[in-house]
Amino acid sequence: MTPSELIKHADVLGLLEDEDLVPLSNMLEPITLTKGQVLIREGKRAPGTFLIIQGEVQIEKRLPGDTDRVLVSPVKPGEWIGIVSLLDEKEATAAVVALTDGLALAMNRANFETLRTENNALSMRFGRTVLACLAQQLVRVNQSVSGLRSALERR
Amino acid sequence: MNHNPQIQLLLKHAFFQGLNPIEMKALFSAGEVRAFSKGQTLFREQEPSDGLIFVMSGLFHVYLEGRELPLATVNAGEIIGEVGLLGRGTRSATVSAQTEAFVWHLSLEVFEGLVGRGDSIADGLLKGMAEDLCRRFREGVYEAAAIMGELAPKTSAKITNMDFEQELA
Repeated sequence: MTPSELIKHADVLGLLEDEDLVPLSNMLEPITLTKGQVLIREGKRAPGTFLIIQGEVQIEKRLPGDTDRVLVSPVKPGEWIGIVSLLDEKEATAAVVALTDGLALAMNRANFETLRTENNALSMRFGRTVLACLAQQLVRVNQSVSGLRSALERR
Repeated sequence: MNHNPQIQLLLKHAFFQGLNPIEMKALFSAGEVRAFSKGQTLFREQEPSDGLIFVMSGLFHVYLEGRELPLATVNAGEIIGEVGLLGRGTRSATVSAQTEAFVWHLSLEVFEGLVGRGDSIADGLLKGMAEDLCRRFREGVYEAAAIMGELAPKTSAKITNMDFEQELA
């Protein structure tokens, strides 16, 4: 995959303009994933945000007050991960681990901050892209919580 | 200080915390106030999203197709359909008015115009939305993990959402 083909993956929701792709490519780095690699550690600030392109990646969340059990959830290809920790500058709610070798696009914290503080159309279109991903993830979390509450009430 | 009570109500919502009253007034003017009667549908699941809705008065229920019980209740001062403003997808649920209601609608077209111009109003709105979405995401993840902890067998080392998929139907 050429660098220009890779960068087009960054526009997962079709919200960017063609003119955004070159400046954005200077802020994104293709990285190879190796099986078992930890991209984000739970309880630590995410080093950046990652768009998974190839390979299987999993979110792992320790259950509260429980050292043995972990909640796992696959990451859908084409999703940005690590957004929340970058946006609110707090520790990540869960770990992100590669289950197979693969490929991702990464934007480090410094570049993310540069985009956030710039007040231009590119920064807003990219900001909208990652927020749209986050909003979709929130819909799924809320649907899960709703179903789980019902299951708990039926007990 | 803006004395318009409708704008004052909007300014209380987390999404608009990044806007000053002058920017909020300009954004409010760019949107549209719409009236709904009891039982009227605001939008249906799978319809193309056309913007964000702020409930100014009244009560709405959010449903998923095939489910009788509402997924959520939305009251005055709350927002429906932020996914519809951020993305260009379809509605994830059906929303109908349970009482007479007034909403303020910010269209996708207006929002995209502000973003395309790099307007400070869009910047303030995105920052407010980011803060609120992050808070709600963290709360949701922690609640899901806490309930999973109660539901899942203590012997399970790894638990997936799929373990409880039947509960979501």
